[in-house]
Amino acid sequence: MIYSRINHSSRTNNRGFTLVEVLVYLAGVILIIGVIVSMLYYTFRWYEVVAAPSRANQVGIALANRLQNDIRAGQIVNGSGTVYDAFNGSLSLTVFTTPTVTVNRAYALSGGRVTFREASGPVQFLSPADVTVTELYFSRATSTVSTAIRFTIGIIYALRTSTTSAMASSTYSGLAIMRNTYQ
Amino acid sequence: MSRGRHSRGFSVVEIVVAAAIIVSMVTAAAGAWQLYLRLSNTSGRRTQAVLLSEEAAEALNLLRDRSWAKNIAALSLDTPYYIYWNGTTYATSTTPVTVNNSYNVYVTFGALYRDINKDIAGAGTIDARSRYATVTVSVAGNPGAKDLETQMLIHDIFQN
Repeated sequence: MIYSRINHSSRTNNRGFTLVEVLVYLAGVILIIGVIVSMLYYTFRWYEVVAAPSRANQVGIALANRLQNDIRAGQIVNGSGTVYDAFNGSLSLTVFTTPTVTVNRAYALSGGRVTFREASGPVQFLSPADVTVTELYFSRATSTVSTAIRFTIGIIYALRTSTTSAMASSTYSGLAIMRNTYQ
Repeated sequence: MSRGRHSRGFSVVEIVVAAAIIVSMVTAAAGAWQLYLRLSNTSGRRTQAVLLSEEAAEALNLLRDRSWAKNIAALSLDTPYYIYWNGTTYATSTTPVTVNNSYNVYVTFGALYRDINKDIAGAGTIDARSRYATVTVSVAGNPGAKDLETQMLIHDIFQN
């Protein structure tokens, strides 16, 4: 008697799911996956908003430090390869790498990226492809005893939020006196 | 009987405890996120401020190279002078100048004293050919909200 009841109940349980049950289950799973994906999407958007300015900062600081070091070590500014007072300016320097050895170093702006070339070597990119440098501005500032170069680096980046998409920009400026121009 | 009662659902106490745990976790996460945003913003401002103060320090050297008498010695002590690039050269002004959209950079000169052995001292005779220069980067329009303050010594080495 007991055996047959258990057997009966077990057989009823093993009948499988009805179509409605499967559909409800699938709908539930899709809903949960949808919620997770949209949460991830907004998290990435937020991360972009927070990460973009600090990434621009990193690029700007790295470029500024490099320019500052080379200008300080500079002996003379080469007329060819140098464009002052322009938003896509360029700078060509003869730089002391040791107290007796000099080398030509050139900075320019090409396609939104800062390029660097040493002597007749390959042209290298100093800024990453996903960061747009809109301005590389060089100015000359002199005194009777020294020559200094002022530079401004402008970086533009997308600042997207869930509702708006805007471009933001940061400016990094610096000044370096060419130490070797001191008499 | 006991199993049946357990399977009927959650009691009010259980729901309240679960909700309290979830709410406290979300609140903590939101707080941490806010802190991260604030720190990230602060560090961005600070890196910009470091660059601006380095530029101002170098600009002071350049002004000194041009003429100590005109550009440094002529300026009053303990008075903030805003230092900026006017498009062709560096200049100082007693009225605030905003640089890079949201900063003020100003320098305050202080007297430098030397003792009887010509060593730098807290008191003694004023050295007319040296100054303490304090470069401050602050929030534009609010000189009290300082991002960075650095001090340097500047000397009339070219006697100009």
